[in-house]
Amino acid sequence: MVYTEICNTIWMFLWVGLLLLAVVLQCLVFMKRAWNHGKEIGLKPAQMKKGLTTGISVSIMPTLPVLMVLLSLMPLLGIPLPWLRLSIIGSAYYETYAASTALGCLGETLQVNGYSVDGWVAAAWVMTVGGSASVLWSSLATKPISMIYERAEKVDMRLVLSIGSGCLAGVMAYVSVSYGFSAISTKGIVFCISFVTGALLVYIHNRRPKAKWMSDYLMTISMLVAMIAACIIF
Amino acid sequence: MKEQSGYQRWIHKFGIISSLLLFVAMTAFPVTISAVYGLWPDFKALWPGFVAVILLMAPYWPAETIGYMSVMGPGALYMSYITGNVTNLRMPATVGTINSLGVKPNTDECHTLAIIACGASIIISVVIVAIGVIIAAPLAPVLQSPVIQPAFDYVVPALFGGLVAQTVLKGKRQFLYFLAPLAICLFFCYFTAVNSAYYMLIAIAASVMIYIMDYQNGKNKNESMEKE
Repeated sequence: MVYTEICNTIWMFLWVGLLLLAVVLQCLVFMKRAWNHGKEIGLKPAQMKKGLTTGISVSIMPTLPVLMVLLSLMPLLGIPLPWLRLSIIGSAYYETYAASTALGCLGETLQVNGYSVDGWVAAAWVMTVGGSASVLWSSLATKPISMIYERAEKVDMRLVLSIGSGCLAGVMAYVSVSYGFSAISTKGIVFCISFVTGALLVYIHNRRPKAKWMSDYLMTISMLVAMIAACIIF
Repeated sequence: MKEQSGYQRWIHKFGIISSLLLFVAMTAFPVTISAVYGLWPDFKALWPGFVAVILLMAPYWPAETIGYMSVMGPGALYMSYITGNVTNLRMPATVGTINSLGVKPNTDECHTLAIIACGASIIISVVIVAIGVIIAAPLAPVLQSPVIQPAFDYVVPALFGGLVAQTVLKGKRQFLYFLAPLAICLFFCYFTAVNSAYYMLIAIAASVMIYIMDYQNGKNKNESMEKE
């Protein structure tokens, strides 16, 4: 048996499709409850709709590279396995690494029609089980860490808000270096173009506070300008 | 207050149960393949692969959970860990939302909006990838065109530049406080071999210390003014 005989079977498509429907269902249940809770704590429907539109607008462009990795993995591993992995806990780098590592353990390499059916099964195991370990972490660790914050809130709410602002500034510093300044001649340039565009829009918005659209679409505009610049520069 | 804690309890209960159910469904996929075709892997040969794959990502789990908890809250984190891409998709969706609405991080409003923004982000990602599966063949030449390839290669730094600008340029003080963790990250990135997951935590800890000191200074000033 060769792996191409089993890697695109109908039941695998159905399995992945149903699993993704379950993921969407989890999101919808969370969102419905959060929407009701938002009303209770005084959030306006317009504010919550803003959350929806930002979540969508910010996610379209960064999802396209995931799609490109899917297209590149499909000839190698079939459709259902990369579809599952890149939709759930997927990252382009991680999935290729996991498949290559699994095949490496069996002395095989990730090439089109270049490995055995046992290699494909091994890749499916390592990609799926290895990748899913983070779900166990989140199930076990999220609650205790959240409880620490909740206890602190009861002691001093303003202190907790300061901690939140501190965390946000630290995260922004990390992403600036990790996704920008760590490779200044490539992604650093794109990051800086986006930052300067964003800074310019912040400046204009501060001068014209009535132009609310500017704040709403700041990230999208900065991202598109930097992506166009990347096409011109590289 | 009682209702709020009930909501929080529900978030954890539903988050943990649904995550574990999805974990079982995910891991059952290769188990079923092996059972259907009678092809069980040689686990003695394969275990280093499992360890290598888990160890690659493991340092980021505590870093992301601790670092992002204040901004995203538990509900958005439960959802985000199912679909991954926490740093490059879910966190920007949340921060973009709270920036444009002027909501403070680590508040109930912030965590509620985070669930809505992350949920929308996850659903749109799942839909885009599903559409990609359906129209893979005609889509490939467009997405893989050399002319627009750099745009997708650099989409993440392009996303973060604007996000960072919007977040740290709210005032002079915020920008100055941002420079300290930025310097720490730059130092670790260029002068050490420390994994980025660890220096992320160090930068966050330093930034939190700065904000706590600022808070204490403000509190002391207020107290001394009240005494006068």
